[in-house]
Amino acid sequence: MAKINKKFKLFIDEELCKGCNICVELCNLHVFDISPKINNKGYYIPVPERIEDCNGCQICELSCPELSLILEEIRL
Amino acid sequence: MTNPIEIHKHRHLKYLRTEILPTAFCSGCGCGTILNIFVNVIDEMGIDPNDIIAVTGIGCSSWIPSPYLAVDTLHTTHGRAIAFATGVKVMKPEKHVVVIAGDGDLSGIGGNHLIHAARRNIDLKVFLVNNFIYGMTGGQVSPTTPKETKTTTTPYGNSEQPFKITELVAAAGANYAARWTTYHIFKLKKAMKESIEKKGFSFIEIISQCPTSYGRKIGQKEGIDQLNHFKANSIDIKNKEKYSEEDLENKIVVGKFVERNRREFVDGLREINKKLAVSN
Repeated sequence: MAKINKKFKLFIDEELCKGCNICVELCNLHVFDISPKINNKGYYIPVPERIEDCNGCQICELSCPELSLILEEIRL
Repeated sequence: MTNPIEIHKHRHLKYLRTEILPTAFCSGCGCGTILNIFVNVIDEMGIDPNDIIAVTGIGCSSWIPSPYLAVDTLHTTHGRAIAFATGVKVMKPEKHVVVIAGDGDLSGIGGNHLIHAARRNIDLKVFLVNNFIYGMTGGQVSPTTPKETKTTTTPYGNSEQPFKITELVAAAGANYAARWTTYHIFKLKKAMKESIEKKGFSFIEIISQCPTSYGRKIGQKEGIDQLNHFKANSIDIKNKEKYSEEDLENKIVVGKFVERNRREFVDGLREINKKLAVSN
């Protein structure tokens, strides 16, 4: 079971994702895994499996070619 | 009772025409990354989308502003994006006129417009997306294809020397010229901000990946393979002196090539207008 990151949340917009795996490969902290789940266009979408490691560097969000990756900071 | 599923949408989708998303770009294409960074820049700089006029030509990368950006767009004939943008800028100097088009469009078909716009130093923001090939039409050789690359029209290898576009534009007299790749996203974002703030001809060559038409031909089938190639083969312009010319042949020199303050074309035009108005 994945732990919870207290600072950042990651969401994948499954309608837009095309499964290019740029986020999976570019993340230096290896937060993402390719999931076996297929979206309705037939792409394997990534999952933020190790979200507790995320430090909010924005690499995945900015390099996503489909604007399908959403990084949110949790403000207390 | 189950919780309703939360649907999260990107906060920058308000700058895009969402009714036609997802984009028509191939999986792993760099054009989407450039679109993402551009909307991020206009969001952070607080530019009103109504103050932007995006001009573009023909090609995959010309799809970045038109149809996806929800600003006023001009989708023009092949290679003539800068010619149209010049007219727009002279008539509406208060707007940000942005040209986003590909290497085949701006440096191949419209190469003359590019160097003469740089010479005139007209206040345009030109983002040239260089994927080394004519991707949309099936992978024909373009003026930026590296030497000895096998493409659809050069099946035995390209014998021509590629254009060094950023160096060319810098030499032609642009106020700002830089080259970055889709791997250097934060540097590219900073360069886009600088170029929008800079008055005069601002040019950024963005080296981008094309997994479908170019990557497959050179054995880099996925977008990420080409990004790793950019990472391994980029040399910062500050370290350029350490390498010989032969070493630099297959490398990508990235960085800011030139930044200067020459007089802008529309300002010069207005001065002449004022002079004539006084003498008459």
